[in-house]
Amino acid sequence: MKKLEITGCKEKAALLPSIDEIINKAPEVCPVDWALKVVEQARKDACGKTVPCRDGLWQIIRIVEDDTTGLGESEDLELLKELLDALVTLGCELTAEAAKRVLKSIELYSEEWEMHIKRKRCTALACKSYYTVYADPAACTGNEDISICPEGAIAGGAGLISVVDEEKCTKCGKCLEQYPEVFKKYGAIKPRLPEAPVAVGSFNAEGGRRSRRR
Amino acid sequence: MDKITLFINGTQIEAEPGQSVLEASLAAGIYIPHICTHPDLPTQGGCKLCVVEIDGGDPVCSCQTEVKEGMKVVTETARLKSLRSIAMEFVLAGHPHDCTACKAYLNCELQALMQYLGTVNARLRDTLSEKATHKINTNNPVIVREMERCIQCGRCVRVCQEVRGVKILDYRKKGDETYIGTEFDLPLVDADCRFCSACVEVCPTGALVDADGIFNAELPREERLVPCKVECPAHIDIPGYIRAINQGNYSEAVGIIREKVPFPHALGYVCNNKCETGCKRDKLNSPISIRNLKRYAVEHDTEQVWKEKYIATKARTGKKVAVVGAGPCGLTAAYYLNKLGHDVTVFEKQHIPGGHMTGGMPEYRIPQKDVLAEVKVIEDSGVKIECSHPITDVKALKADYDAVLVALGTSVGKKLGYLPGANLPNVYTAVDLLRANRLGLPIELGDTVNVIGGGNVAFDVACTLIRMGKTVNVVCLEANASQASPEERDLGLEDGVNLFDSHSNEAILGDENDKVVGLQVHKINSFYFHPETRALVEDAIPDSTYTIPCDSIVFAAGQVTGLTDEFGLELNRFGYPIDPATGNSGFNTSVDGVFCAGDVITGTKFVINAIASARECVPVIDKYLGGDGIIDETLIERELNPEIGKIEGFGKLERQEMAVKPAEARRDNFLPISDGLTDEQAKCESSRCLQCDLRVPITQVDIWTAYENK
Repeated sequence: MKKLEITGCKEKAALLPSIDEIINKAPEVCPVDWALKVVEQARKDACGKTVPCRDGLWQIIRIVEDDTTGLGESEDLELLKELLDALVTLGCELTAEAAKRVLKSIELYSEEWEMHIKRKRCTALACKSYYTVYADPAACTGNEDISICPEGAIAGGAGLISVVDEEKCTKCGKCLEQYPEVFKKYGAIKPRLPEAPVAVGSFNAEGGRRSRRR
Repeated sequence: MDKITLFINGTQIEAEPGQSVLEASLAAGIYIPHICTHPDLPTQGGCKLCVVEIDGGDPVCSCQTEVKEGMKVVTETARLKSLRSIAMEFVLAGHPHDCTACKAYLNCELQALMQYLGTVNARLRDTLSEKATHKINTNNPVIVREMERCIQCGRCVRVCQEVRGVKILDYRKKGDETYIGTEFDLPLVDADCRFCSACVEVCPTGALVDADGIFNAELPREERLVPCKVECPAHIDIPGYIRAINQGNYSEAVGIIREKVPFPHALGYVCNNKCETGCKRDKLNSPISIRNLKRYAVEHDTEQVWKEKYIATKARTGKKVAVVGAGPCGLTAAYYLNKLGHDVTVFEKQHIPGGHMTGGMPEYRIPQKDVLAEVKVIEDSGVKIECSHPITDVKALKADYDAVLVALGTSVGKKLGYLPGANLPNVYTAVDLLRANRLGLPIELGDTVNVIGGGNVAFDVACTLIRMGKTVNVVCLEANASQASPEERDLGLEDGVNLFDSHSNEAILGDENDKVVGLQVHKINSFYFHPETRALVEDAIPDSTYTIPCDSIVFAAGQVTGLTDEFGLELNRFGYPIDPATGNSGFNTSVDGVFCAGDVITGTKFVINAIASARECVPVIDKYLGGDGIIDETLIERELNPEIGKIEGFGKLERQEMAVKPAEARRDNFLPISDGLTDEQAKCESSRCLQCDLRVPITQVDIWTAYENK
């Protein structure tokens, strides 16, 4: 019997994100989004020569993606556990390690997973489908450079409160990065916002009413 | 080395040291599901279907685990079943569901496994629709690559890399997606694929299949896969001898050819190369020049390494066989009958042997001395040839022999008897003319000869007459003499033959002394033969009658057996012997112990057909004489090396044609019109072979239904 050895999986496994990233930073880090990143990295690094690393990880990604975009199904969590268990047994070091870490995330944060799947919410506001970007009227200085938005989704200008067009926004994160004090995310609860840019200081946020998103 | 004993599901089995658990189990008839493993390939452990539990441990791939003494292997547990099922589900999530539209339908290992494992493709997310790589580089004329059906098991990669050494297929990644392809996604031709199609052979699904029309699906696999050999009437091992030529082993090449035919050189000159019509390379650019390589091999065979074995015969049986006719059929039969131990005498009415090869085809196409050299080998093996010995009564001959083979071909030319003047003195047939020329017989021609007919034989006659210094007019019905091969026609026209095409004959004109003075003709627009009566129907051009002056006429209008009832065999109305048992021509005749083969039963065909007919008839005669009828022989021991490596530009190598001498250099002599392929051409041409035969020994995978524990 001649055997072809597949090598390098162990080294790649060592590069996977550590579960400590969630444990230390919860709740800022979303355990579902984190799991997706773990599996995506494993798939990218995998040799693709075996069913677990090629088709298995792809399948896990498809399911977890659904769970972070509102397409999750109630039986997903059980299905994921079953598939991940199989990958732990059948996969190479890289695939098995990725599967183990996702299983750990599910084990430690099952409520958050359930919330993603059933209530379509992400506590950490990390899963793109589950948050909306807005400009905080109280924090706006009127000096923000709105041209940083590649989609032109920010309306405003000198001395005006910026307004983000939800339809156009792709959640690329540029504004969030540039002006973290001004551009923010909201999840289930939408803050009171002007419909169009108004002069800084002229918008009364107190009158805002709570509204459920979705 | 001692066998290893192990237990599979409690059954004790024996295994060879070094075998994998999977190999040992399958060899013992115990099935373990698998798809990425193929018996001829190194294992990769990719599909995970062959998982087993050993000595109570965690599941492992049985293909990757070596057998050990006393090992206890369990192949079926709830956990293993679940793991296999999940592995299958992963695969099926990315595989099309339209099985019935797939070319591998019912011949697919994946489909068989779905049945075996009972996996349904429903629970998981579909990944097929996300696939972006399956349209890459599918375009080539030989291998249909339906890559959406690819499950990336890697069998094609391993056969290309590890077995063939071509190393163009590999796992590739685009984005995060894995697919099988060539470097830089080059088309197979540009990637220097050798088109051996081993990848197709090992593909378990319908991802890689042979293009339509390459193989005849009705034939058994071993024949089907080597189409040149199928097409050759004598089934010569063509890839075998082309490989020998490529390696410079010309004598071995001739030996391989001689395993099936005793006239390699003659065939190298004049074979109609039907083999080339099957050549798979034709799909890529153009077929291998098989006939010309054959001639090259013979002309470079200095050692004759085959000869000792070739002329050796079996112990003598004491039986006597007479063969009537020393043409390719009679001499081939004589060789094999002698080889089987019978004493063979061949009777030939002409003064030299060879039949049409020495007396009916032009010298410039097939030199007499080369044919006689091949006849000499047959004589060396013990066959006696009596020339100038016509046989007129086969029953009388039979009285002195245990068996008689009538192989006298169609050696009498036909005239169109209805044409006025057809019986004038200077009116001949193609057979008369060519035989006179080659055997040195007198013939009265004059200076200008009109040849009636427009096939290849008409041009053989015309070009022979040109070389005899005559003015030659070829008169035929077909526009552009379309009955002849374009090459033969063009050579004739270059030689100086005058072509009167779209002409219909009215009469051969003679003077008061019955001396031929011309051929009266008229022009036609078109013609056809009536489908029922076979009568000529022509659209003649009115008032176009005129006379083409000449001193003699040669009919190139076909040949007949020339047999009459006096010969002693029951004949049909065309003069062909018949087998009374069937009413048709066949190896048996109306006289017990008298057999027929070759043109005399098939009508005029090619040399290779005559040889093939002899090869088929000899076993019948041998069995009649009490033998086993087996004429297969191996003159050259050979092993197939499956490793072919890469050749730069392989797919684009052009067919090499022999240089033909210019008309000025050829039309005043009877030397061959070409000196054959050059050394460089032969090297190139032999390297172009796709070596279809290398695919035959690849092991066929048994699906689960072939095992006892299914």
